[in-house]
Amino acid sequence: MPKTIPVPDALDKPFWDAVNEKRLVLQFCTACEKLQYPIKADCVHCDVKGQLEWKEVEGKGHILETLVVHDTRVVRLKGDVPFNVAIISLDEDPDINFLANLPGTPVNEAPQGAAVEVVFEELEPGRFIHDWKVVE
Amino acid sequence: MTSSAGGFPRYAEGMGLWEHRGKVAVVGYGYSEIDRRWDGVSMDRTLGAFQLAAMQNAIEDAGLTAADIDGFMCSEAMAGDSWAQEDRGDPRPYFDPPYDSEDGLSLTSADWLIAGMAREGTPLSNLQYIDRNQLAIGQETGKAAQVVGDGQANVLLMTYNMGNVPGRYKLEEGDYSEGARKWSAPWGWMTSAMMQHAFVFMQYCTKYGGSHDDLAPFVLNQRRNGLLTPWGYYAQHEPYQITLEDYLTQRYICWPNGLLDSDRPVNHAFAMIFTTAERAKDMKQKPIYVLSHVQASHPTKSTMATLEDHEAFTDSLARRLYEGAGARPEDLDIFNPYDGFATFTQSYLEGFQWHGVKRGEAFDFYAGDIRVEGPHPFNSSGGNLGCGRTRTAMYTDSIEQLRGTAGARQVTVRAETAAMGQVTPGGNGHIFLSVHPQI
Amino acid sequence: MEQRIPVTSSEDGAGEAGRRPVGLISFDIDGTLTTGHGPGPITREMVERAKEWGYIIGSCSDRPVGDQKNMWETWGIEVSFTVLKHMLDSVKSRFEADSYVHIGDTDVDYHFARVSGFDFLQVQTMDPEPWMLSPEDGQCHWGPEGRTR
Repeated sequence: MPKTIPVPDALDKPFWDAVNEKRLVLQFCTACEKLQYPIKADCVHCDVKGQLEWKEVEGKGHILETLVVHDTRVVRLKGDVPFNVAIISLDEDPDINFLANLPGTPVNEAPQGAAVEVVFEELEPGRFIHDWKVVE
Repeated sequence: MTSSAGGFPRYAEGMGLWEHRGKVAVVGYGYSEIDRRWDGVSMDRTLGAFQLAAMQNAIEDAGLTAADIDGFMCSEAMAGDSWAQEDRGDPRPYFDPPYDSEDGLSLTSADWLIAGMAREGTPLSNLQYIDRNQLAIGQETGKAAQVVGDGQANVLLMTYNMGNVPGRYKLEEGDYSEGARKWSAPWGWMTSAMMQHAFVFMQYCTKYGGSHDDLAPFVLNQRRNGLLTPWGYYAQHEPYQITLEDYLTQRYICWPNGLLDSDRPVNHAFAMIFTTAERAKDMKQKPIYVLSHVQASHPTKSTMATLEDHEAFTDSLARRLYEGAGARPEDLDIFNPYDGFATFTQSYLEGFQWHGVKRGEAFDFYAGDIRVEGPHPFNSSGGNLGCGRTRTAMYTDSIEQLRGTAGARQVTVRAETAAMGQVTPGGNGHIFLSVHPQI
Repeated sequence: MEQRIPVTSSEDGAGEAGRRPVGLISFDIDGTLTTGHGPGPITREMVERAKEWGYIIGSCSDRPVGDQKNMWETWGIEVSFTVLKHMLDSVKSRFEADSYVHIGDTDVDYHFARVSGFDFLQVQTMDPEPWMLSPEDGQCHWGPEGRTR
């Protein structure tokens, strides 16, 4: 599926650099000790500023639910409908959730609650993006 | 003349009774005609023309003149995609003034509306207070009531529109995603709230049981109520009832959300007049008192908000609205929560515990008698699903139910109080109205 | 499974060798036919002429089927099918024809035409088909709103 290609900025470049190395690195607030994703300037969990560090996570999760997109505004994906969009909770912190297309899982067959693991898909030479795949 | 920023006056927990409970009243309302889209040529049916008509109708309904209005409140945000942004056709060919820009077509500024009233011979010549920064009508009505209660305006005209110009919503073109979209677009997540609510709805079904098809009685009843709303889009332009088969065979945009679960954009405008209870005593309409109002703004802590979040948000919303009004769930007669997507209305129904409905009980409630003539006339307005995406049918219906002028939609149960609001559990405003100054 | 209906436009008694090619045309409604919300450029006269010429015609729209049927009744045209937009493939399985065309105005029309094995004609840009031309002057007279939206 031809995902659109994320354009890093100064704030989230470390995240995308890690993804390009096939590692999942999230923000971690040393004040409230919570992980954070997506990448933001400040911690969304507490009022303390300037305490965000980077922390690598294992990349294991579970499917919360799976939607099936039949019509999309994202032109690059129009030729691929219908496709899965699952919401994945991270095992290390279930409050963190990700989107996933579940490569290899046909639409309407995604097992709710199934274990998944992060995979990395090359969109351009050297530029990767994270997705999640059902663990067989 | 002062111009105020659009802060939310009542978003915090524990604020207790609203300090102006029963001291502010709604004394007029008005609405425009309704179209699916502006046709690009009829200058008497633009968004701006519709909004001026709604404002004039509200003033007339209240038995006032434009010179009596000293406060004005509106939302200047674009009501829909602009023609210039849409995915086909040329950039908009603008017209002679006052239609020489987007103003009046896909959005309306306070200046445009005030100038329009003057142009039409109904000048708002005594404005002392102008607020042009409201987000959506849910927050706007509460702010309007607060401004009158605080004494910043004595007779406030509040107006809101939802517009729709020719064409489809804009497409997201290109191979790259920047800004916030880099965290969602690559996996096909659309900008619409639809997918957020489809996800929470799936969690709801997993937690409590049931499926998408359990929404059918609600969606069909919304259309039925909409067809009983003479000015509504479907009553005006597509006057047929949808069937259970239509619902079950509908096209899905993003499973579990289908076309019939989604409101349809329209071109329409609305206005409402607030004043003090004291001033309202001798006015044309019997006053409808404001007992409380609340707002909510909850940031999403990860990629998506969850069912747990939405239940907490709507529990808080309901608790605070009741607390501000000094009311309990059993005191609420008319309840018109938001239904922009059918998949989230149960959040409000259960959060407000209307007619005793608790978490996880909405589908059983929908399967019962929710018709306006029945014992549980839920969302008697027909909402957006029944009237088009006006976001204001909930307000016109609530006022009409309390006045006893809802016609074929008039409920047969007690109709002395009403609550209504929007938009989503994460960003919301609700208001509590009553024919009595207190419960 | 519905039975596939063999269709022929040849006169009674004509054998397979004398059979004329049969075309099937599926019309979107809103934005395509003049009766749509908003009105499209294809007129009732054009549709009626397509039918007279032997095309199998019907509608494929997001409008509920009951409303599609009401629309055709209002226009006084008996059609062979009325289906929801995502069910266009059912038309191909029901009717045997030599060509299948869907005429519509959006990328959704294009999508379902493509996945259902139909040719797609975008109403805003298509060249007029022969059945669209007036027998009086040979011109294509689009509906009053034209093809601009």
